[in-house]
Amino acid sequence: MSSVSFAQQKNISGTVVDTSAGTKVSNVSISVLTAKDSLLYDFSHSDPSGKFSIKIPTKESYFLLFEYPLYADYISPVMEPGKDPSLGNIPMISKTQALQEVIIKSQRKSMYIKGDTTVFVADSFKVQPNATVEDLLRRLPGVQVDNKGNITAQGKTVQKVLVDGEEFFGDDPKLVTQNLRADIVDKVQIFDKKSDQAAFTGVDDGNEKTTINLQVKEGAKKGTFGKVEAGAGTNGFHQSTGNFNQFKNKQKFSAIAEIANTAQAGLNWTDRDFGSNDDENNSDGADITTTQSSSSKLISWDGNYNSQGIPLSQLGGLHYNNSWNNDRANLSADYKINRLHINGNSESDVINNLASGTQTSVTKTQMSDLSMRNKMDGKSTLFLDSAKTTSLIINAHGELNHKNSSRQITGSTIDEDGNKINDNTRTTSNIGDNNGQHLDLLFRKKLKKDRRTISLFVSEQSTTDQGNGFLHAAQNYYKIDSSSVTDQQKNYNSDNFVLQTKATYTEPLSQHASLIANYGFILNNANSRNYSFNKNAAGDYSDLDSTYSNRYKFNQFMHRAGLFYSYNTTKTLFNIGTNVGFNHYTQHNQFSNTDFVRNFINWYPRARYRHTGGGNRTYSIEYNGSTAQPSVTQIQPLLNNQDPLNIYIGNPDLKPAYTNTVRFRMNRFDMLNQSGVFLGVVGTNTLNNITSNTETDVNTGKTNYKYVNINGTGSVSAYAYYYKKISDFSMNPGFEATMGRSKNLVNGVANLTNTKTLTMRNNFNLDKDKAYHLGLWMTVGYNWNQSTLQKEMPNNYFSTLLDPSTLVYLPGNLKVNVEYEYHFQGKSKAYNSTNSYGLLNAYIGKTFFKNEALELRITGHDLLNQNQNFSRQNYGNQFYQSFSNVVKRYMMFSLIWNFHTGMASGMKNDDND
Amino acid sequence: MTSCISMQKVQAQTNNNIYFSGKVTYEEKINYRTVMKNFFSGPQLVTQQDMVMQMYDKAYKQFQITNFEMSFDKTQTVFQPAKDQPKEHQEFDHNFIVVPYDDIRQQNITNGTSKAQFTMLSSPINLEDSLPKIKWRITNESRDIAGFHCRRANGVIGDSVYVVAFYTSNIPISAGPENFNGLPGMILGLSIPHAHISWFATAFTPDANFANNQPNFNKKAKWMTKAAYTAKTEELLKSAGSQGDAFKSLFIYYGVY
Repeated sequence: MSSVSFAQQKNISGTVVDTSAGTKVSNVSISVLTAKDSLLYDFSHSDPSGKFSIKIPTKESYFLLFEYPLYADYISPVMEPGKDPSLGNIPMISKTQALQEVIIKSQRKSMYIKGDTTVFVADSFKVQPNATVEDLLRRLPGVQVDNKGNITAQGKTVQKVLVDGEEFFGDDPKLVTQNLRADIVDKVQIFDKKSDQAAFTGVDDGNEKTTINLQVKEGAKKGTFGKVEAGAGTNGFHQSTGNFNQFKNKQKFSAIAEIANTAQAGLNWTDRDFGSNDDENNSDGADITTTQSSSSKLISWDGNYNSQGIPLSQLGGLHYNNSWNNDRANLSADYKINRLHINGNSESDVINNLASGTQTSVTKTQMSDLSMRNKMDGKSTLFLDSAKTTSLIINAHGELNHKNSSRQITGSTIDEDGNKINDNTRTTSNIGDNNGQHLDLLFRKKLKKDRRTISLFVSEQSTTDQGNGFLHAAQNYYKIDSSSVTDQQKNYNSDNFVLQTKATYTEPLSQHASLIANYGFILNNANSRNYSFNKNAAGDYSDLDSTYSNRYKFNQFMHRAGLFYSYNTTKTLFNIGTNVGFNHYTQHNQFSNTDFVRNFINWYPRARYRHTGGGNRTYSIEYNGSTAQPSVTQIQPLLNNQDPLNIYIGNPDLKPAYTNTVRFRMNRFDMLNQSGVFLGVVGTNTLNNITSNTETDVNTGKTNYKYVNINGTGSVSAYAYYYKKISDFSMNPGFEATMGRSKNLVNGVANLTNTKTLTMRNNFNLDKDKAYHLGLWMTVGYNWNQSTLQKEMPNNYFSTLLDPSTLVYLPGNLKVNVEYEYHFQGKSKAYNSTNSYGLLNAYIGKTFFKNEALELRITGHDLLNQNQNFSRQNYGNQFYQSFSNVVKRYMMFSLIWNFHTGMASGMKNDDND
Repeated sequence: MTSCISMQKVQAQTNNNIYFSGKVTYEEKINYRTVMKNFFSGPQLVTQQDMVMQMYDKAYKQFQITNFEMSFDKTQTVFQPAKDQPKEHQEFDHNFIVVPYDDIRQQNITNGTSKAQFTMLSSPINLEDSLPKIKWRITNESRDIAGFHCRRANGVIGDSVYVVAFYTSNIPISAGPENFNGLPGMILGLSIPHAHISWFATAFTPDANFANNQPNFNKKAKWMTKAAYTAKTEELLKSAGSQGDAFKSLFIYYGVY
């Protein structure tokens, strides 16, 4: 082949190096393949000093394939023709014994690294019949799934799980990993997904999300599969779930239904970020949180289960996606519906340390929440030309939420001698609807020159929130011998409209450097009406209480612009620039006909440097600055009588706060040695931090909160983790250390709170295929909390979480799982008692039929009947402690049926060892 | 005998060594019955097809299996039938020899030429020309052959004959069975689906022994070029009355490339 000579022949050269041994590698086969169709363009072998020189195409994109028996194949990223003729060192990673075993077992390679992507061939990793994708992920080297279903890959949290490159059921990873079958998966690809914008422009902005893409087997795209589970238990507990999936070529249809009161199912409901089409939405000066937030809505509940009380949830969802015309058009749509009913009670204690002595408040709450929620999402991408240089992405979202909540609260405060300062009872209820819709369009065009692009983004969003409720509150103040009663009906009604536009232009400056410029405006109009009514003589709520009623109109107009310089090569990324927003805000009081106007500027400078070395090694250092404007609630809150013991007072002199953040990270993951090191340090410092000055009246126990600017708030945290897998055994020990300081004012006196934590974590896993799985997750930590106002009462304590689990497969298709979760929090000067509890869960399952399609399972939840929801926190001079009721002991009998049809060819495990 | 033991050792697990010389045993498998039937589907022969196939089925099995040995080093390969043939190997009556299974090939890696000797439709052929150019497309698929990890490549000979090859980076020599070459490593498996023929390595012994494996070429042979061979095959096919497509690709493989 090398005898052929071309007129414009160009060679690429480099050196092949063994990364772990640091030696040069000779006789490595190096192939140049065309990016379009993998045609072998030329090949060569490295010489005794590891060097090679090989012909490259002058007109076509290409990539290089390195092969050597002792090493994992290395596939380079796609390279542009005729550019960058020196490759430098090519890292080859030696296979270890651990991996060889996997490879020998499998006819095909079990894993390989392609550019920045690690690919696992799913069938090389044995899972039980009817296993879910989550079970499969647990088996993959370098991937960890905790018992809540959260996934970590190569030391980084997985934020997205895609199916054939498409989002599936919105962006809730657990709905994918817990509902799809493992055996439909052909390949699992793990990579850091660049932002859509970066992928489109070719200018890397450094915004990445660790992503798992599941490539579905061709054979599985022609059939249906799913699972039905029905369970009934003692004490009225029940849990039934089902899912149905029909895949047909590029069309995917899925449905899920879940009903349970065990807090184990039916609770996956992630609220979608608005403006998801716009990648930079957090850092481009679009601070639009200045809308008045307080209203006469009596109970603001987000509609989710927060681990308090007993939830009864019914959840349903539909998903559809398809693509046409050679993937030039695709559509995905999701619909979800959820009815959630929570009954619960909680108790919280607050210790408030004042110069004059300590006050202790105890509050008991009975809650009942009911929500009915619907949401629909649609996304479509249209490429307007066959070369895919021009595209239009449309996102649409709509939601309807109905919520009905009530609270019965009783509380009292005593001083340190045990004398009662106050007590109160409050009954509140609220019925309301909030609805919203969102539509955005993103038009993008690549111009003739490489990296010269233009994109236009327009987004519209409108929401309404309305409802009414009742407030009945009675307070007694013993030290001043007075009492008050409030009995009101409250109505609220607000609407909000946001229009955003943004145009982004990228321009190449040189082979590696680019400029990114953006400009846009944001328009925000909102109306808010809050009315409070007292009872008239006839007992009807018709007397308007003008103190607690108001009507406001809010207008906001903002110009935003940004300029960034970016330099990137295959190994180095550097970018620097800033976004800035010029905001004009008007609040018009329609009752008093007065205006409140504020103009402010937000800055968001950013600099980032990242170096990617060989063998999956990355270093990065990053600086971010951001301006945070005081919210209007902090400047001028609406008068509110919902909680007469806690009152907020505005401060019109507040200045914006500015936060500096510096991050350093180092990741090294050696896929083939199955080991990794992850290090990081993050430091933050806030200037003019907006915090509260709390003033507590010794005689009534009433607390006033007034917002003020204070310097001296900041934190430093560091972590170091190590991962190692040896054969069936893996472990992941690590340390985390944090230090923080925050300042606030208590009755006008500065209070500095210092917190430190030192945490050691480790988890061990031992897996033996079809025999057993043993796991131990442990966290041991020590916490220091000290406030200058109460030096003699530091909250220093020891805390532990131990979570051993075991799964054993017995003859006769029996499996037994036992898991114990032990929580311990030690005592401190602030709390003179320890808190500990152990959650013991177990199940026995027996499977029947060929393919183990049917499973009968007996589950015991919280066998020791100790489950609790408990938390201790401290803030400034106050210590909080709260308990709430949760799901405790029950036994459950479940029947699980897995089905699949019509996908025989693709579903078989190719292993024949 | 000793080589047999070391061969088994090699097969027990994936081989991680690099070799620059050695001997590969290939099993050539021809779906002879189908080739025969195709040959007799030509316009002048189709009338005899049923009769010939009946005779074939009485005397012979469907597949012809032949063992070949190939010695190689960095400069050359010598590929020829092994002395010992498996039980399944058949000696056909000369009337039934439509495709050769007696090839002797020598690839000169240094100067890119090759010599071949085989019998085509009862005529001895001696061919000497440059090594063929095959367009290869590399794939992600792989499999183990004779204890070596091999990667699949799909090739095209002369725009019409598609071949599937498996090469290994353990032997960084661009050669293979018969006249196949052009991949970054030794080809240990090759099949031409359209021509119903394949070669897969069954054993490997390190160190080539060319002294015991000299090409057994006919001393008196007159060597022809590819061009001459093409003309000769056209003539042979014409006189035999077969123009089956499948058969043509077989001829192309044997000579034109």
